[in-house]
Amino acid sequence: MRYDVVVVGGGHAGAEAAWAAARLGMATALVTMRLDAIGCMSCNPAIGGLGKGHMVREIDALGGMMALASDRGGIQFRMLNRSKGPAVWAPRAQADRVLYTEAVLDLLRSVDGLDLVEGTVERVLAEPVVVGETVPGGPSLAVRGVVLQGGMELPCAVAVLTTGTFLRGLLHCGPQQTPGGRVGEAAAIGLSEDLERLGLVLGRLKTGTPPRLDRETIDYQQLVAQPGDDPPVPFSFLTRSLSQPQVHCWITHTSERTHEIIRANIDRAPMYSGQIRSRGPRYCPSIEDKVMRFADKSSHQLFLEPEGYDSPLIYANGIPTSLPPDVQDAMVHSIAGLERARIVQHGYAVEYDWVPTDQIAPTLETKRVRGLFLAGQINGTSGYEEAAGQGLLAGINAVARVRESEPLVLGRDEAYLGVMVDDLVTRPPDEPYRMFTSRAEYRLHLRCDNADARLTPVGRRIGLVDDDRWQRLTAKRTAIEALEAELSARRHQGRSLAEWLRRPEARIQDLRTLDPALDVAAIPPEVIEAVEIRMKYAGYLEREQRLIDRHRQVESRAIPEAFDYQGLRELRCEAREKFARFRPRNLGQAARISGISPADIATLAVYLARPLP
Amino acid sequence: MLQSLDDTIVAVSTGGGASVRGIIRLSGPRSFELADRVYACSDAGGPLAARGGYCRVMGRVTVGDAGSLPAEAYLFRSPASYTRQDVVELHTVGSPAVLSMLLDQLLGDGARLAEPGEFTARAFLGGALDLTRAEGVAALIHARSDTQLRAAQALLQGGLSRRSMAGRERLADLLALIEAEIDFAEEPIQFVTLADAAATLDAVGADIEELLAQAPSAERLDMLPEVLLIGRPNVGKSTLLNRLSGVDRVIASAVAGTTRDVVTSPLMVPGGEVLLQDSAGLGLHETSTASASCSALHELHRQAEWATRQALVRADLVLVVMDASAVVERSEDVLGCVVEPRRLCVVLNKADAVPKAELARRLGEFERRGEDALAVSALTGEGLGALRERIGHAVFVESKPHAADVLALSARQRKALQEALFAMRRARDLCDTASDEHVPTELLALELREATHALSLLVGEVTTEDLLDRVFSRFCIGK
Repeated sequence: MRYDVVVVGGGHAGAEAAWAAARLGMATALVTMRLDAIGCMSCNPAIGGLGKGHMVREIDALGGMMALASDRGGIQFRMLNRSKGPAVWAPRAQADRVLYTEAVLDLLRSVDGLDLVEGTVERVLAEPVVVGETVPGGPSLAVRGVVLQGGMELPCAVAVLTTGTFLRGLLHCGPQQTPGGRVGEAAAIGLSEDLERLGLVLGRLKTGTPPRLDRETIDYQQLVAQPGDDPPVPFSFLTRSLSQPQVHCWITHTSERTHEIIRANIDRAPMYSGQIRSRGPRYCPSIEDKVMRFADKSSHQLFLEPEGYDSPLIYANGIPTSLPPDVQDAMVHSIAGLERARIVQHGYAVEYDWVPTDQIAPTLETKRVRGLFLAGQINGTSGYEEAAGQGLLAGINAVARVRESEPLVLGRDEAYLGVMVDDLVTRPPDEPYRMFTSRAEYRLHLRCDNADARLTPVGRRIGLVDDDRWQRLTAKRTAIEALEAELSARRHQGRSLAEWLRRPEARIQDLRTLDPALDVAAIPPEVIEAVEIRMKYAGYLEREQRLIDRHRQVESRAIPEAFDYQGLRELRCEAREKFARFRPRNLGQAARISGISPADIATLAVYLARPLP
Repeated sequence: MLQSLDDTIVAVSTGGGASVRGIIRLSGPRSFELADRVYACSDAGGPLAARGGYCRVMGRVTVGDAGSLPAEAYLFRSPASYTRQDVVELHTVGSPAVLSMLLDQLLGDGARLAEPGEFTARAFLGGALDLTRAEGVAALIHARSDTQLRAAQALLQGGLSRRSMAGRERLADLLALIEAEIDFAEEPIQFVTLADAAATLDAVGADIEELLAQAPSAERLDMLPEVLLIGRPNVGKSTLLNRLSGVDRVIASAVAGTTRDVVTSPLMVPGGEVLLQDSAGLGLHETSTASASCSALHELHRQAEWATRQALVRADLVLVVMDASAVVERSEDVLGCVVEPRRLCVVLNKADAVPKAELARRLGEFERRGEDALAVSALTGEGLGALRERIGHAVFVESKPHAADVLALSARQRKALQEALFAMRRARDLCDTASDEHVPTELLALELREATHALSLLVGEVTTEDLLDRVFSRFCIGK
């Protein structure tokens, strides 16, 4: 059977890519090494947080699946940053690993035209692009299928690689090194070699995970409980409310004794012995790193997170480590409440291959091989949400490639997803890339509450948004406009209620004291919230909008895909080389490439105004 | 970043050493309207905005509180202009101080300073230049940016850089902490308190205010060291200037007061290039009773003197020219004010008309008073080599530390400091509105981003990676 799209990998990127491609009518196969590991949370059992929660909402607004799975699999929900402004509120949830995986599998099985295939992809089949169709900097190869271990061939037009930590994955636990993509699972060796054969350059990154504890061996009396929100706020715009019971997380701290144990054994840590040389994320350092780098801190905080309602495991968030098992045991036992805790699975570090992102276009397609898309950790990112976002975009653009239709590239002013992709293709990361809200220039516009208004029309145009989601958005929009009109029309002491609402402490329900005829009882809370945010932020939103308008003017100055930089003598060598390598799509993107000066851009603009000889 | 073509841009194009005139050029949709804010037409034809193109309008430019000066406006309507947009050129006296004030006003009213080569780029993009000239336009942009970069770097070696860099560092640190408050909400760390934020804003704000207050208003970016020739009428300043520069650009005449404005000429001396400026005779209007009946002429004299006074304050070296054959005066009597000795050199001209012994005696008098003096003859060329040496030494050797210390800001830099200051004041106000339940952290970040962005012109952009580095190097992040 010939597929339109083959997705390689069943993690968060792969699941979204397959979901999107199949829902858009493509004959799709998702090939994964283990069907029972589809949607698996390899690291912490949680979704969301700052920037990440924003992206989950965006995925949902576009018609993706991560928010739906999170609402089904979540066992504790919190809205972070409530004491700050609404632009930086962000949802986060603990998830039940089993329920989450089941939800993902359920959703994928509900889609027609999607085959789930168990197997290991060893090769990507590609043929040279017909001579005469090649353009400068354009692809020289085109995908025609993938080959599984054992030799089975899956012909396809487009392949989406979402290999996570599996490409030449190497697990470190003390001096012991085991090839593998995840504990207990094999690495993908052949595919790495095959990508190099296709001409892609690979790099190496590292990440780590903490020990998992037996929940019956923990002394909860010594711990501080952290409850979820009441009422919990869902991720998806489709979820009306959440009714599942919520669990607690628990907080404890490392002690001086913990730090002594680590210092005494630091020569056995792969990160310090020289065994691991690749770069790990600074925002998720190992406990040995925390202790060595911040020697003056006598204690570090841990969150003990349940892995599910019925799971016997507790995830010890805060002490990722690759120290040997005996040191991990001693270290854990030195922590309050964990004196008798049993480690069920020891922490480990994993090194894996990635494809530095000057090799992909903003569509996530490789520049060298037409029809080959990359998403998730293979692009140097970290995190389920970052992976899922890229998976969704790769799935959408895979379909655009098959249909030869307009691909989807979101702007930095449209979505965190757009910020992420633009960051990747203009400045390849040198550590696993994680989203932060500080990466967004237009943070007041890119809010969780308006992700639907920003992106559901986009998802509708593409075809991923069904009638139900679309009607909800239009109803919400109408209700927002009606309430805003009413607040502008009603007056108190010569000023409209809208003006009264701009005072910092004013809330819509309180406006009834000014005008008793105002009745908002029947208006949904998300509408009230949206109107309050829009009106209170109004002045700032206008200011930001002016910046966005400027940004768009520069972004609209497109650079032809086949633009030849070689003849541009007045460009500095470095600029010429970088433009040719990154192949920016417009002047704005060109300007964001590191090492490019304003004069380079002005010069390029002059050349762009003239067709080259 | 290539800016929008819809902005109205402005630039000063003084003729440098080539012209008496200073030209302010505007291009863009608001050119006429903005020019009207600083220009009063002499005729009854209404404001510039009501007029067509391709004409010259006589009038006056208003220079802040300093009054007004005669000027000419040249109007070009789109598309019949160099850039194919509406263009206005205001021609007035070539004093950098005047031009700088005009520039400030136009920037305040919403014009944007042109990027290097931007007028030419617009001409090209607007189709006024042949497409085959792209290479030339690109080369020009590069050359102009290099020049500006060098000028800015020279400027940044002084106190301005040190002080704005210190301010930028404190703001960037504060912004990093505020961003951390937002992005690392789950960390058990208080990165910064509102009280600390307010204190930082107060301190940096006060520093920038002081910086702004100290900044002289003259536009110094792009300018060579200035050497001013000054003296009583008819001591031979213009002849001396012509002799030194080898160009006959000043009408040297025996009629006192021929030279009206400051006239400039570039001059190579040992060590580099300087801008040599001739000036109108000081104190002229007091003695010329004959012109009292002609008020227009009187006015012209007054303006010329005003321009000279400005140049006197600004000059890196003042050459007081005296007639060696006449009664020798003290230099402060000639100048009407005291100039620090290290910026001063007396030049006894017409040395050929005085016996050697007498000349030596007169030079000795200056020496006793601690004033630097030498004798030359503009007519015969005697002593001119020594004068060049002296100028080069004074400007490029002796006065270097002095020049570096001068906090001379260009209009662009002043505007950047002002924008930063306004954003910081708004941030400061936000600190006061915060309560225990609600801190507008994201708005504080927005204002601080604007402030650091404004300062980036002086001291470089603060990137997200830079902010993250600041947080990760100081705090243990990651649960």
